[in-house]
Amino acid sequence: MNTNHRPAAASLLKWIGVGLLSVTVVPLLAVVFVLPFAGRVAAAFDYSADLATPQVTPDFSIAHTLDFFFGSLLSTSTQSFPSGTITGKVTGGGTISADDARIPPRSRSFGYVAMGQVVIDSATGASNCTPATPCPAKGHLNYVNHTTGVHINGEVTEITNFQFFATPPGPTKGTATFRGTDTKSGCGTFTVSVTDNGEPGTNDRFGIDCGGETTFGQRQHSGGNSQIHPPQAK
Amino acid sequence: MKRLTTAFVLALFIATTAAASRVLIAAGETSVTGAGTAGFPSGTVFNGVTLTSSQFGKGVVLNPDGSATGDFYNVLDGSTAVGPQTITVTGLVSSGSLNANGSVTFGGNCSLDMGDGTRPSSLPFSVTATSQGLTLVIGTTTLPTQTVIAGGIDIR
Repeated sequence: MNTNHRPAAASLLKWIGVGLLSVTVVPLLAVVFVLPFAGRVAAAFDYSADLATPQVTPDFSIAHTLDFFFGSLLSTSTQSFPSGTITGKVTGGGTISADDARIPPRSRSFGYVAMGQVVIDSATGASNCTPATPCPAKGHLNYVNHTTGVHINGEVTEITNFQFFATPPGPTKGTATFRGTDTKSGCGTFTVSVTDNGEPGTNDRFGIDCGGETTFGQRQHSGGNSQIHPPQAK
Repeated sequence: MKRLTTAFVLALFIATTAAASRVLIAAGETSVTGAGTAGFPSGTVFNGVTLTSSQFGKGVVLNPDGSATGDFYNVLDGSTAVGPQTITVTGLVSSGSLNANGSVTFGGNCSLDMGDGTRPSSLPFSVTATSQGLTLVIGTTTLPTQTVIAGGIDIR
């Protein structure tokens, strides 16, 4: 009886050894191999993430079935969005405004980068970031009011709103709001809200509030571009 | 059992590769933002337009692998014999890197509107920026460095 158990025990020990070796050596090899071309590997995984969208969960509702068979004729939903945690990224550079006489064209210049981990709702394209529960972010803002000379400059620390209106394979569109602290003019916490309405950026919008500096909500660009970037894997 | 082990090892390798690349990339991003006005050295001429000053706005993220994303906007104010003329450069950034001296160089494709009624053209462009100014290359023409007068450029 005992002699029958020995091979089984030896086999078990062997596989435990292989398992331990796998979880220690393989990750080490993976890191060593990936170091010289980390960027390309990351880009490849980003690309895969983009291709994977929209990630549609099975939906057998009547509305979805009608939409599936009759498409735009009976369209009840138009797009699904990537689900789960992604890197939300928004960049922009330009001037305002083209739609408000209080802010003549080219009287305000801006340049910004804001990015952070956000969790996207696949049904609405909205994220988990809210003013009450902001998502940690990094980036920077430069803004100049050429009429008054106010220069707002500071690190971006929070995203309080991030929502896709459309994602690849078509153009990416959406809106975002982010916050940070000004270190130049002394206006305190700045809140910037932007909307990407597609390319070129003529219909994009930018707005800022910081102390007494305000654009009275989002104003249409008089030049430049704001971009909500396509979803990237976390 | 052998197949299962092979699949496990392969999955572990792929997962670790993805995670490691992500961590390495995130660690090396550089952001470039700027807004303000700048001046050209006297005597600067581009396509027959004498340039005096400019306005700029940019937000760019540079990745360690040489790729980049972001936006560049530069309005060049000048004049010709017939009066004032404004040239507009609106660029989408696709590549860039941090230079050894702390400056950054990024580029991509831009729309160049000469502001003379002709249709805007699409051209490659690049920008080398420091906290003091920026040097713009449109197509094969390198413009003299624009020195920041108001606002600023931040490289982080």
